[in-house]
Parts: sequence; C-alpha cells; structure tokens
Amino acid sequence: MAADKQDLGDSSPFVSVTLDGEQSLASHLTMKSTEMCEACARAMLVFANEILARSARLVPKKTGELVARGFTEGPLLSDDGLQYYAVVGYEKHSDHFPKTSGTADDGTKPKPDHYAVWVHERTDLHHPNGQAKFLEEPYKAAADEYLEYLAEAAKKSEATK
Amino acid sequence: MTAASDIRAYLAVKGITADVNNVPQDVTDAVAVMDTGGYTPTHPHHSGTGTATGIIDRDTFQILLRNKSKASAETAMANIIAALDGITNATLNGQYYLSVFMTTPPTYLGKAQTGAGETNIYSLNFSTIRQRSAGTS
Repeated sequence: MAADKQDLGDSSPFVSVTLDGEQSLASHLTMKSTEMCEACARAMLVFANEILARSARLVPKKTGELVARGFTEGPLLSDDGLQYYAVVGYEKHSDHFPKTSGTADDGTKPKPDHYAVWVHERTDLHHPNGQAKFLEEPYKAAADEYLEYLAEAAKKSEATK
Repeated sequence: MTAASDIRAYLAVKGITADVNNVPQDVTDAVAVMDTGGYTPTHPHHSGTGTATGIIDRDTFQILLRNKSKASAETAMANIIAALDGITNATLNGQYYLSVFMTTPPTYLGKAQTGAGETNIYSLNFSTIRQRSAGTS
C-alpha cells in the first residue's frame, strides 16, 4: 500500500491511496470473517448451555421431569443461510408429559403438551422450590453478558490464527 | 414504583381495572399486572450512586388475564394490547417511558379453578424502557 499526498492548487489537497495485492487482502478478510462467524456460532451454543445450567437451578422440581427435558441446539443456520442461532428450552419438539404430571396447588391440570410453558408463565402459583419464569429470568440477566461473550469469542479466534 | 404499578395506573385511565402482583382467587374474571424483573439498567458514565440522572431502566412485566368466557378474554386482551403495545415517549403514572412493547403474543394457559368456578387463563408479556427519576426504584 502506498500513499501520495498531492496538491491541486491552493485549496484542494487530497490523499491518493494505492492498494497493492488487494485480491489477497480481500481474500484474507473474507477468510477472517468466516472464521470469526464460526467462532461466534460455536460460542452461541456454549452460552446457550450456560443459560440452561442457570435456568435448571430455577426450574420447579416436583418429580424432576421438567428439568430433565431441558435442551440446547445449535449452532444452526437460518433458512436463508445468513444467520446463525442457538436454541435453549424445555420440551423439545413438543415432548408430551404423562397426563398425571403437573397438578398445581389450585387443582388445575395443564394441557400435557404445554406443560413447560404453563409452569413458566403461571407467575401466580407458588412452588416449594423453583419458580415461574425459570428460563426468561436467566436469559434477561445474561443478555448484556451475551454480546460481550460473543465479542470475546471473535477476538480469541483472531488471536489464535 | 415498579413498572407494574405504573401500568396498572395507566390501564385504569383506559378503563381497565387490574391488580398488581396478585391474581384474585375468588373471581373468575380478573386482570393482573405482574412484575417479572427486567434487563440490566443502562448507566451513563457520568452517573454515580444516589442520582437518577440519565439512568435507563428496562423493566418487564406480564399480564395474567382470567375470564370464564374465551370470547370475552379475547376482547379484553385486544383492549390491553391496544392500550399498551407501542407506547412511545409517554408519561405513565408520573414516570417517563421511552417505550412499552409486547414481547410475546397472548398465550393460552388452559383452565384454572377459582372460588367462583372454572375460568380460562392467558399470559401476555411486555418490555419497557423507562427514564429513571428520583423516587423510581
């Protein structure tokens, strides 16, 4: 790369920049970009597992059935191939619970295929251990941390090359 | 004051009666605004302890709605969404909100038993961005 400062008259100074080997540079940047994306995608799954671990501590545990159905997935690629994402949740693919599980203090029985959502959203019910919003709460607490974690993963991928 | 208290006051202005952090068990038809925590507040570099200047709170809340009639529940939910979703730059109960927006669509949670009989229960979740003022927790 070379830079020449030229003067065109009294009032129009400008800098001319010449790039040598731009194809090599573009190729290098593309490769780095891909490496950093893949590092972030892997970090997404690590972070999803961390959210699940924090969430598991908050899941109400009567039989242990719900906490055992926590899962993470990823890194996955969106249909258009432009975005990576990871999934953390409970009741993967609408797992069904036995109809006997999940009787609440008020005698209500939830629809079996919505059990995790039902427990998660019933903030009006008391649980002897655990709580409602057992996934949303750790997610919100870690939201800012998540961006920093991905940025760190991208930096590390650069540093290890 | 929490977001739920501000929202309850605002809903009252709109003609919707709601409880805060409590769902009455002796009636079939009720609306409750439940505090559900929130995201980490944003502090500008110049703010210190003991001052509210420039601090942005990002509280969240949930609406739990009970109604023995599903049709009436849907009408009530539509009224709540119309009142709350998309609020921008408005003073609610004396607090300045930059925005209030729905984060999950209404979710049907099934039947629930009350002292007055069986009812249906629904959940809606919202997020807020609020400018902290003196006296705001």
